Amino acid sequence: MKLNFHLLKYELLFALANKGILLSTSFFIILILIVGIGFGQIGESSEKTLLAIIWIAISLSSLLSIKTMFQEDFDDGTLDLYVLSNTSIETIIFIKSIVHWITTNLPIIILIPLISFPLGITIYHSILICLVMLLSTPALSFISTIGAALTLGEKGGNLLISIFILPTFLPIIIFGMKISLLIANSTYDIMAHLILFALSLICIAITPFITSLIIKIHYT
Amino acid sequence: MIKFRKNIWEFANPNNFLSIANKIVPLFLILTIITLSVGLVWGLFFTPEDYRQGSSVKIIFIHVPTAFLAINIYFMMFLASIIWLIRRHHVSLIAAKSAALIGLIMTLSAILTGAIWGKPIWGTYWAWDPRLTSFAILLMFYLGYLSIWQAMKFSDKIGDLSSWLCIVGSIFALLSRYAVFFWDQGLHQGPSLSLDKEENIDNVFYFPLIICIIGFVLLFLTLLLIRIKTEIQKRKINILLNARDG
Amino acid sequence: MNLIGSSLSCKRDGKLIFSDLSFKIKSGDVCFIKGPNGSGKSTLLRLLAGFIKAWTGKISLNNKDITNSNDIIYNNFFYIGHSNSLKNYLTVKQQIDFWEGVSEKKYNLEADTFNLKKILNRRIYECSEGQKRRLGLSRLSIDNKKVLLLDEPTTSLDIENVSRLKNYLKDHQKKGGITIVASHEDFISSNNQNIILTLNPPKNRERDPFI
Repeated sequence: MKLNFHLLKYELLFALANKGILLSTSFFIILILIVGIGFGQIGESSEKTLLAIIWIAISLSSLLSIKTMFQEDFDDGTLDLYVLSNTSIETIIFIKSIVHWITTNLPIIILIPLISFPLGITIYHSILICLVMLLSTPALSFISTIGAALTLGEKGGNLLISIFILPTFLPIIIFGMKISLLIANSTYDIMAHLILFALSLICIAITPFITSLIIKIHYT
Repeated sequence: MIKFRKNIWEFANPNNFLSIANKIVPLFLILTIITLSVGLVWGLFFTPEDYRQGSSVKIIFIHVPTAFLAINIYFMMFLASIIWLIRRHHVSLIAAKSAALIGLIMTLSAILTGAIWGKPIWGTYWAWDPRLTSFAILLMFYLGYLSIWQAMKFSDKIGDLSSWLCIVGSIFALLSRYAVFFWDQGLHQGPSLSLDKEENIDNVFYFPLIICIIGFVLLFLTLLLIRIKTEIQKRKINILLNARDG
Repeated sequence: MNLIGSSLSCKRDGKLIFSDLSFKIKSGDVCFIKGPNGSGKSTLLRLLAGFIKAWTGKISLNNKDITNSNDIIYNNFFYIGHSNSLKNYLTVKQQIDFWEGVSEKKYNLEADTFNLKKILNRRIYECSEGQKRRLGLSRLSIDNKKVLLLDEPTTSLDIENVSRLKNYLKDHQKKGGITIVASHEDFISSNNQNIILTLNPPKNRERDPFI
């Protein structure tokens, strides 16, 4: 357990040193503003479209810094160290995914009320949507580790990751958007929330194992 | 004369496979031409018009087989990928790789024929209906699988990676499909064929449709065999070239 | 303690790299792996370190098969590869702290085998290649394992530091440890307990299933 906290601490340090937070939040803000301005030109900026934009923006920006997740450690040999250490690769992947979530998705989620308020989503709705995102976005970080593992050692892997991983975000995005729509319509569906949460938990439970199997391929 | 072999895994040897494929491709080609022409001619010219949909219903004889294949080819790729990961038979990997493009084309033709059918019946080429959406999802996963082969050089490692991509893709394609269906059942009519006899379409359409499906499956098998043959020969040429260059 | 490999062969990306390799290494031995580039020196080390599995043959330590036992590998083997496993933005001190945490052991700063005391507060991107390699090698004194697997340890080290490494390895030898080195130079030549392992490309190449 001590080892895991040690790893968590240093992985956070590595992620902060890579300036991932700044990049992904700026990307998120720029994407929201660009699409908002674009929709503004055709006079179509209802609460619903804004919600859809937020979901798409958060899934795109969580893919931004995913390539470095294993690539850097693979290049400088730290991944070798992890493989030989007293923890399993699955634990490492779990820790890395959590760190990725903390450094990319969490700042964005905190930003959402700030950015959505001036754009015309009521503060109450945006806080509810933040809660839904808190439940569901960890799954996005966990799923994207699969893409990072698949393109390990591949130049220009960033584009490939988007091609592989964006479709796998669909279950989360579909449920997330529907729930956001319900929130915008001021209705409430406990079943949908539960299923979204369950989907998120399933992804968190199975992806470390799949990712570790894929990483082991690079070691044969 | 094809000798009877005691074990199905003997086909996994590329050379055995090649020699057998060479013999059965012409047979499959002839069978495909016969069944497809019988099925399509019967379906398109000798079936009555639907009282509601008119003659546009006849596109069913292309739409249903291609849709059926689009889904099942992905399932076949899933099985072939698992076989490659467990038993490491090259033909299995090559089969998965070769099937992907055919599957993509089947998906596209299912979507296209559906759009042509949809315009007169629903008044729109495309709607975000659950069934249509799940085909869009399938299309994305085919593109993902094909792009890994496009982006990286052929090797056993890429075989492993693409197989895992196929398996992960299958899981998430299923999840997405159920996510889409969770919210509504949509415009699209129910399944045209099911094991439950009560729900099936009328017998007049049923038999030609079955023949068309068999014809399209044979067409897929023929194309698949030809593509696998090409791929094996490509690998052989590469190996020989490498051996010559040292 | 003895490390025995019997009729090992190894595949990389479906191709046989070396085959029929057998060796027997006792306590206090230093084993040099020789062979041209691409003959599988690094692969053999990675095989011993437990990254990859042998295609055929088995490796045993004290007559126990290590192929499927991560515990034996973790407790006895120590691997340093080409790369130094350094993060550019850390200081030397932080990097050592990170390794200490990962291997759950302490670095003995008093002994200071690799002369790191002066550069403890330097950032790693400010270090020279030689300093980086020394830092990388200092992992040796964090984990005190019985079997050392070193891949080209002398790269970018100056004469003084090569002799430091030599001294460290001699100490290790006296304590009864095993050292396996893949290197082009015999930097520990004045010793008769050396074993030289030559890797040869497999004679009868495996038949490709496609031909």
